[in-house]
Order: sequence, then structure tokens, then C-alpha cells
Amino acid sequence: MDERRISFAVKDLSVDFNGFKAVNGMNLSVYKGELRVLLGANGAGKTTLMDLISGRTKSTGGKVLLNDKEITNWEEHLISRAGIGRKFQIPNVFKELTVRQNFLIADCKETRVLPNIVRGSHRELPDHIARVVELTELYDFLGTEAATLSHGQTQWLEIGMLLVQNPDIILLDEPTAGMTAHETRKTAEIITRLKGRHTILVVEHDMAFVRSICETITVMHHGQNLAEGTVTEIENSAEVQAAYLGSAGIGHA
Amino acid sequence: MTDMLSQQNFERLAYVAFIAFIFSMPLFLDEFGLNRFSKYLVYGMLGIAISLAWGYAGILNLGQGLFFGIGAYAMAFSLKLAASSTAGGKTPIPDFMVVNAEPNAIPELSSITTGSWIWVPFQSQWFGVAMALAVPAILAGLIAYTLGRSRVSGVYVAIITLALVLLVRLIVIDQQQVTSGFNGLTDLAWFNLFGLELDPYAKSTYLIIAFALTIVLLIARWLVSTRAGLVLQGIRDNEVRARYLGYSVVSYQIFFFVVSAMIAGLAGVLYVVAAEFASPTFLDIAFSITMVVWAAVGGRASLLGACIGAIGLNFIGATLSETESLMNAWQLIIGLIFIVVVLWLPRGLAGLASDLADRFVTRADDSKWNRFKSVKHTQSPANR
Repeated sequence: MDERRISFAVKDLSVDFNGFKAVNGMNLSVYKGELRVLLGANGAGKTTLMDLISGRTKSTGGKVLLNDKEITNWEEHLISRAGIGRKFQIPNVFKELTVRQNFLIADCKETRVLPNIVRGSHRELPDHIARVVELTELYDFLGTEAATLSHGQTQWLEIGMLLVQNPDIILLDEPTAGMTAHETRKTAEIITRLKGRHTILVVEHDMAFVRSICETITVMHHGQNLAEGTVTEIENSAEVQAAYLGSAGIGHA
Repeated sequence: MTDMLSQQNFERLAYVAFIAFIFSMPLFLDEFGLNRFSKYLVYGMLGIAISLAWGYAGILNLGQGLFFGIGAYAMAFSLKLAASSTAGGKTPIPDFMVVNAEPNAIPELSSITTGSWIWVPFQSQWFGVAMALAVPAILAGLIAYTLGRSRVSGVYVAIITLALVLLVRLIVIDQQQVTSGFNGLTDLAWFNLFGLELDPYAKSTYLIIAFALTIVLLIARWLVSTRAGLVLQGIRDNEVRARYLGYSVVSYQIFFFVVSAMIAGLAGVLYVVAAEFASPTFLDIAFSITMVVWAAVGGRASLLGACIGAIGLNFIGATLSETESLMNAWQLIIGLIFIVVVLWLPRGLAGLASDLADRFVTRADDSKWNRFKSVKHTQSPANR
């Protein structure tokens, strides 16, 4: 149906937590360079889907494909090396280390132990990291322990680490959660800049934000792919409206 | 930036002062004092091993005595043989084996008691040293691999390592015909270092142990300063994030756990050289836990801190136990020190020292001003 190449896909993916199917026969294909938004009410399985794609949770059925290669239930670090990076909903950084150290670890082209012993630590930040530090406005905080950063700064630190890691595919779980208006705008700017260079799957509820960054939306409901389409199609879909009945509507899910 | 540089200078200064201190001890102590202090240095080495595993790799090993004990026994096997004479055969036979032998057993190492063949290669003292490093390394690798694979962490690791050291202690005591059981190995020969006999009471022996400690300290310090050391600290802090950056958590933990075990093994070798015995008490749980206390008091996240903690607590303990009025209370005092440190100095004495250095060495107003400026800076959105 589409001539673009598929970057990653899930086929009939399911996970069963003692009888509760958080993801239940999910299908999804995301094209190379696409920015896809994942919508869904709380408990629809969005975060679990990201856990399954990135290997944190082992699936009980179905497949995850990366460039047509099956990576189902690989270990997290191998999936990461294969090119999938992730930002968590709750900021997930190295809290006891300084911002500089966080960035240095994120620069992970070499992941093996022995070469990393021979290499030694950088004194100066390499240019490609310095650029990200500038972009995320963390320059004055390089020597600060990550635990003492504000919430928004921690979110950016994690996004910044993803940029340094530079994976083909980026999974973003509510990147603007808890951010101020200025921070949200800036984050949208950063994400828009990534579009095209990376394939991005993002869980986001802020519809203004979604409208400004994305072409295709996938709506999840009860662990399945309920609907897929443009913003307008989704907003007018009877199916989606029915699924959201009872909750406050798309914008507030 | 200035804070960081002076922190670094402070650390460098502390290392230099410590090394100068241990090498100057022969000026102040007589041979008995020196011999005793060389054992403290060995404990200091154990402190480094604990700090590396616990402070940097985040693996609380309550069985470090296992690696220390294996190192000690491997060395003692060799030094025992060097001090033993033959019992009618060609190979030297340790005295306890003669006692334990069956009446008509052939008096050779390969056959005198069940399992005594294991002693045969230890006729070379360098084989003893090699085993003192290799066996702890292999064992540590297996433990870290197994625990890492099954994602066992935290208190469970502590319990499993504790159980392991107990298990080995039981075996050592049980296999008396090979290990001399409860009695341990005594009447050992001196280690022969390329022709130099290491008399435990000689200045040269002390200096060699001090030199070994210095080398171990510097190597460990270098290891944690590499990129791998940085990644390891990241793993300790947040395993999930490290995995998502593509690092194999278990590989890093194995590597540093193995290094820590080899340091403990080397400490076992040096302890036997200085103390001239090996005993199952090395495998007591209490001893392994004591090591953790040394590191906690000194500062587990600081290699030098943990090392000084071990030396200092042993020195204080020995001094107190010899002071008549405190003879019965010294363990209480050590216990109190531990409680005070855990409650008020979670980063140990090393953390306290680095905080003090921060306060006095760097110009406090200056760094505050910088932070103030930077906060202002990022808060105005028009800036960038």
C-alpha cells in the first residue's frame, strides 16, 4: 500500500500478565523517517507496547521486526545496539552522576568492556556532544549531579542522551510530561528537528503538540490497534469516539 | 570547572600523602610493629577490593573472605610444602598429612591421603601465587555471570555470597586430610622472591607489601577512571538506562567483580607471607562482614577511603584492645564508630574529607555566584 520502507513493525504482538492481556494482538508498521504518534486512554497498553518493542518485557505471542529482521524478546542491550533508543515516561537518567558523565555514557558507539578500559575518559566533551548540550540548554549544569536538576531539565537530559546515542529509531514516552509551556515548545522544536533523520514513535496527549508534529496517529485500545489515520480522520472517527466514551476525550486521556 | 579541578587536586594530594605515609612507617616502627602494620596494609587491600565491588559495581559481596581465603590457602599450600620434608618418598609431605594418612599409604603427595594429589603442583610457589589469583578470578566470574544472568540483585547477592563462603568454610574444615581442617596451616616457609627470602619481620618484606598495595591502589584508581569505570558507575546507578544505551550490564559487573576477587586473592597471599599461617577463620562470616564495615566507615565509593578505613579501624582496634582500661570495650567503640558513620556520614570518612575540602579549598562564594548566574541564565527564554 505504501512504497516507503518499513522501519519497524509489530505483528500480532501480545503479552499476558497472569491472565491480563495488556497488549493483545497489536499490529503496527512504522515507516523509515516517520514520526508516529501513539494515542490511547490510560491502560490502553502504550507503555507496555514500548516495553515489548525495546525488550524490557518479554512478549508471550507475536513478533517484533526491525528492518524485516525479527528481534522479538531480544535482550535490551542488544535491541539498543540494533538501533532502538528510548525515553521513559518517568525520566530515567544516571541520577548520582553529573550531567557531563551522563552525556559521556550516552556516547555509546563502543559498548564492550575491554576497549572502554583502553580508551580512558574524555577530558573535553567531543563536538557532537557539546552541540546536544547546547541544544538542551544544559551547558551551565555539566558539573551538576543529575539528581538535583529540575524535572524539565531531567527530561531534556534524557532526550539529550538519546540524541547523543543517535539510534535509528526513537521511542518517546510522553516527552513533555510535567514541562512548562516554554519547555514544551522547545521540546516540540527538538522533536521536529529529529523528524526525517530518525524514525520516531511517540506517546503524547497534548493534541496541539500532536497536530504540530505529526502526520499519522495510531490509536490503541485494550491492547490493540483501534484506528490509524491523520489527525482529522482520528478526531472524526466514530470508533475512536466510542472507545473514549466515558473518559474525558482525546485531549485529556 | 574550578571546583572539579581542586577536587581532583585534593584527591591526588590524598593519594600522595597516603603512599608517603605507608612507605615512611619503617622510620617509626620496630620490627614487630612493622609486621603488624603490614597486616593492616593487607586489610587495606581488602578495603579496595570491597570498594571496587560494592562502591563502584554496586555488588554487596558479603563473602569477600572466600577470595581472600582461597588466596591465602593457595599460598600456604606452597609455603607449607617448602617447609616440609619427605616421609620416605620423593615429594615433601606436610606433617598433618602424615598424621592423617592410612597406615600403608605410599608416602608421596599424589597418594598419601584422599585428595592430597591436589597439592602436587604447589611444590612450585609461583604455582601457588598463580592459583591464588586464578581461582578467585574464575569463581568470581562464575558467580557474577550466574547472578547477573538471572538478574539477582541487592540483598539476594549478599545472601548468596554469604552462603558460598560458609559452604567453602565447611569443606575446608571437613576435608582435614587435604586442608588440615580446623587447625589451619602453620609452620610455613618464607616466600622466596627471586632469591630474597621474605622474612615477615624484615623491613624489606614490609616495603614489598606496601609496594603491592600502592600498585593495587593505583591500578584500581586507574580502572575506575577509564570509560569502562564510568559506565560501571552508570550501571550501579541505573541498570535499565545502561541497558538501553546498549551496554551489557553483566559483562561490566563480571569484569570488575573478577578484578575485586583477584585483589582479595592477592591480599590472601600477602597475608600468609606476613602472618605465616592460613586458617578457616579467614572464611568466617564475621570476617567478611568486618571487611564491609571497614569499607563503609572509610567510604565505599572511594578506593582510598575504604583502604584507609580498613587500616585505621584495625589500628584503632589493636590500640584499644591493648589499652588496659578499654580492653573489654574496644569492640563496642568500633561498633559505635560504625553506627555514627552510617547514620551521619553515609559516604564515609572519604565523603566527609571531600566535603571539607570543598568548603576550604574552593572559594565557596565564587561557585555559588556561578550557580546563581546560570540559574538566571536558563530561566530567561529569550536567551537562546
